[in-house]
Amino acid sequence: MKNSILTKLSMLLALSLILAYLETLLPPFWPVPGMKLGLANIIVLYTLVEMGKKEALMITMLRLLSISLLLGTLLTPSFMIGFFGALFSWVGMSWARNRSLSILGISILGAATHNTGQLLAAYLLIGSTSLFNFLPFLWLASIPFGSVTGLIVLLLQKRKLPLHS
Amino acid sequence: MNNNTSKTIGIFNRSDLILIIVIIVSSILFITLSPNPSHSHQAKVTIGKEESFLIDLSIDQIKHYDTPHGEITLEVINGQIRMQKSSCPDQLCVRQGFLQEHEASIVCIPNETVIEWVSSPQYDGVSR
Amino acid sequence: MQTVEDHAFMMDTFVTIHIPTRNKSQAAAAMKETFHAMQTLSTQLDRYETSSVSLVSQINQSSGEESVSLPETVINIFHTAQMISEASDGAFDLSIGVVVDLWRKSELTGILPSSSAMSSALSLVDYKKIYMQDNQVFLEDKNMSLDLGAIAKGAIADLAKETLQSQGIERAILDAGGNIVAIGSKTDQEPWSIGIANPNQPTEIMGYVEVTDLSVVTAGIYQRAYEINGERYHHILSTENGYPTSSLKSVTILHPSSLMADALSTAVMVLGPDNGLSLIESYPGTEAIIISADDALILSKGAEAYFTLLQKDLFHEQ
Repeated sequence: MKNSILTKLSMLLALSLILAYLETLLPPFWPVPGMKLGLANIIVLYTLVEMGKKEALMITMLRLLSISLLLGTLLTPSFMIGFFGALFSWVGMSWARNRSLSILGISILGAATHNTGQLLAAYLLIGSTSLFNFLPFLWLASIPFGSVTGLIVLLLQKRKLPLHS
Repeated sequence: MNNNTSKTIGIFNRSDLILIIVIIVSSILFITLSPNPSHSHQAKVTIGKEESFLIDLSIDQIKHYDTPHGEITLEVINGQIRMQKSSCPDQLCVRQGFLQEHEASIVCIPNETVIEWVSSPQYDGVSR
Repeated sequence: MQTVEDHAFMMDTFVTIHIPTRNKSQAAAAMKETFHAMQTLSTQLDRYETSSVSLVSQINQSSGEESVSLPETVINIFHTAQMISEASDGAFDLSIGVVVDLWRKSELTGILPSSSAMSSALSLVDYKKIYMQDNQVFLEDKNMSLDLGAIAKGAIADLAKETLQSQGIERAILDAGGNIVAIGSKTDQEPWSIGIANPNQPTEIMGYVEVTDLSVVTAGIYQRAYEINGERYHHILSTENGYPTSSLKSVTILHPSSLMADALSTAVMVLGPDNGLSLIESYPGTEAIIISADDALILSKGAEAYFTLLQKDLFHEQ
């Protein structure tokens, strides 16, 4: 791996960690458990459109691992649910990347697949079908939340941040 | 993909809008097709995958349970149930308050706990 | 279909009547009459009620001296009780009163009954010394004392059923502090569904029975339990040694008569699993759902047709 790419990835990883931390400072959205803005997805989506699928997956996995090591949540239910969500989201966004969807569309699909993956993981853990009652609300929430994160990535692209060396 | 943004409506292109409509329609279908939680004198509590039991809501009570990753305290008052305390970090389940009639469940992911209405069978009496 | 529901407090417990009906005023009137009849009988059977309205108090006060004449409704209760005493070889015994008093005192003082006090109390427990002739009841020994606690709820529930039916009520659920009487069926198609308490966690439901025109009565070690010196004691007493029974945690009986179900549930608690089950099998149409001290589920031969176990992980079938 080229040094420049490595540097860039490290920087993106650091940014995604900061955003994930910032997210925990925001008041959680109620009453649907697990509903959140998904700020860290900004970096994953940025990496996906600017660099590629492989790099985005690396950022995703390294972020999950670092966060869970920092918070001591490795392999706990919350980690499993976050892992499934992130993996589903990556699959969804990678698929959408080469279609006719805009960055906003990719972001919305990423949010919706993220929620679906999370709920599936929660269902596998707990086995209560009543969990799926939350699914449509999470899907609906993915439209505004996905749009906001998508818009931020769009702005990042246009601004040509120093990140873009 | 930026080539495809030629046909845009607001900030979304046509494909985006189709995706949004699909999400909205399937969500609404999901909501209308899923059965309303019927509420009764019992709630079902599931802890982890193995343990599940019914709680009689006609008796005021406070109960502690150990979960695979911590502990929870349930409170039943006046036929209503809530998560009074939980060892989880986000406290979403506690903040949700009493399980409302239109809500399906109270979920605590870190403690792998679900509290839900019992739909069937509903008991006409309890022998004790 | 609307439902009419009302509560009353008697026998230290809540009594609820629930009637699905189109005729609300008829149901309300029937309920009022029923509560009144129940209240009257409950005072007659209450040995702690010292006034002359309590027939059981009168019998106890006249023990060893004279007989007391009883109305037909009450004498019938005594006949049924004596029949179960004989069938259970004294495991069920109305003359347990003196032993009950001993434990009441212990509950207040926190001191266990002495063995001499217990053996003298037990010497006064003998259903064969309850004499009945025509409508008269007489206790042979001076200090004998009847306690109808084990069957009062059942007897009163049966009276309630009779009263409701005489008022034209075809479907109803009566809950007399956990003694359930199902009158008719819930609808033409479905039976009544009655939950059965988990004896380890009585606020949870361990399973349920589906019944039509049956009474469901549970006796359990969790009912009216108290502590002395950190040990738990409950109210179902062995006629053998005077101590709370220990081989079973709960016994649920299905029987058309709530009085029979009530008496049998206590008898089986005292007899234990084997003799208890043979007692149940000797009464056709009676079913039992038993939880033993080691959480084994024991069913009478026909009980499976009514009962569904929900807490499969907590109770193992035998």
